[in-house]
Amino acid sequence: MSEASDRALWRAARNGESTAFGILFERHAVRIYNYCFRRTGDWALAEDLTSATFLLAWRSRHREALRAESALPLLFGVATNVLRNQRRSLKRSREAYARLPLARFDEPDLADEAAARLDDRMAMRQLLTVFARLPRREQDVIALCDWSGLSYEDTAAALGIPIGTVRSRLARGRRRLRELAGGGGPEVEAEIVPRPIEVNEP
Amino acid sequence: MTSRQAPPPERDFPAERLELRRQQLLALIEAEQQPQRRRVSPRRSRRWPFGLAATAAVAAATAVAVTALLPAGSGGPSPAAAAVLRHAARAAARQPAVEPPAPGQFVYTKSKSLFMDTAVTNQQTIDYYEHVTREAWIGPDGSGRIREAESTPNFVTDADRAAWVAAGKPDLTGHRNSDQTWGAGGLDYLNLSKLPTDPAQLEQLIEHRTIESGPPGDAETFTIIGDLLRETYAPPGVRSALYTIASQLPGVQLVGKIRDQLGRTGIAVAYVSHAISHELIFDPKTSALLAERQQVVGTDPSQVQPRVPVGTVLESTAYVSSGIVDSTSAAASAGP
Repeated sequence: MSEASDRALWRAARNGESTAFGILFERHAVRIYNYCFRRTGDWALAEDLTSATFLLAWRSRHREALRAESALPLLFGVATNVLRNQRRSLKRSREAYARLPLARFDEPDLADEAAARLDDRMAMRQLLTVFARLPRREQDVIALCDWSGLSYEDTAAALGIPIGTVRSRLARGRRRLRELAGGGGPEVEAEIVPRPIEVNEP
Repeated sequence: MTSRQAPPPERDFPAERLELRRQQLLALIEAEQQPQRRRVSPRRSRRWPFGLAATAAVAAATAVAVTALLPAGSGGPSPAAAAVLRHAARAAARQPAVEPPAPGQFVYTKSKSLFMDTAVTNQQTIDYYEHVTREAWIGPDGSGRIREAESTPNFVTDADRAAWVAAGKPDLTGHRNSDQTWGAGGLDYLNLSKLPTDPAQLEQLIEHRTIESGPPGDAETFTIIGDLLRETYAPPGVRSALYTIASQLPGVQLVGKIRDQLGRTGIAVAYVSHAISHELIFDPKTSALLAERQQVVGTDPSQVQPRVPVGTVLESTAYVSSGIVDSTSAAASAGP
């Protein structure tokens, strides 16, 4: 039994086979989930953002041919957009899910790892207060290249920008980040953690 | 010594949550497919405008002949590059030592940069240069100030300008004008005064990414050497060792004598990676770092959008002045 390639699964998804898309979800959700956590410092929010990312990716399947071997660059690109328009994307996706009969979101039960995840959250939020001072586009390339380990090519593909721009933004962002230590930061405290959005249950 | 913090390691998506989320996703997809098989608009809108305002302007920065550079990785450094870098190492060692900043003092650096960026409107992309003048004051306790001012951008080619006009002259705003002040601990002061002056020892620290973190590989090592050479208050012995390390780095090539965007002549050495030449331009007499530049020198087969022509400058920074100053309102008059 050989594993279907991302490209084959994406092609099947474009032909309307949702199960193929389900396999892509199983394969890549964890990377997107961690990426969303690192951008927000919130595990529960990261789950919602992951769902929103895959829903949006599904809806865009006809627009986006998969040229690369892996669907990950494309998914990271969608996730970056979802993160950028977080309130709107989440609201839409939660409204969509709320229409489902089974759509009750339970709080994640992560008791076994709760302490470690709490530590992650503290560390990540501290890092993000510094990170938030970078221009958004520099945040995007650092989060994709340095945090998620994407190559320059994959980052360029994810963001739809030339590879040279990836390199120059990365250099600028790293340089800027190097200058910004943990510390108090400028006088204004950046609001970086979005509040969950209330969705009225039907 | 490094402050480029890394996020905590990745964690599992808890299995039962993953399964629940998968079921929900599939249920939603099924539900959306039932009513009508809607055609999604073919318009590509995944990209977003980055912004930046522009009036047209003069042609790009530093038009200099593109020397034919080979991709890196073939054996050691080019003999010519090694020779000029060894010479630079000797010149650096002869420079008078600069006292590191005392408490209450600041390392001041002023630079002028241009950065290529890309705005996206509907179907068109517009390449343009942002021009940024940057001043940084960083004290040994991490306090300081960073001021950035952006001047009028210009387009990379006439076609970019035409695309901008066709798109209705959108406001391409860079949002890079800023002036921020930090208290102690806000900025990262890179203390170079304690680094070894022995090239082999210093190279170990760089290779292990102890001084500055980053991915492995010679391209990144070259970048880190550039970062450290930028810090003008490093002792002459350390600066000399950095040039020595560069002279032994596989893949480093000599570009030759070039003029930076302030019109100063310097010697450029380069490391080519992904068809982009990363160049350090230094004064052969003093070994001071005058400028840095990134330029497209070929076609990278892995490049997603190979539309940036050979010879295009992606980024260029000239160091205008630097020195130790007594306050965050003082500017040093000395050259780099």
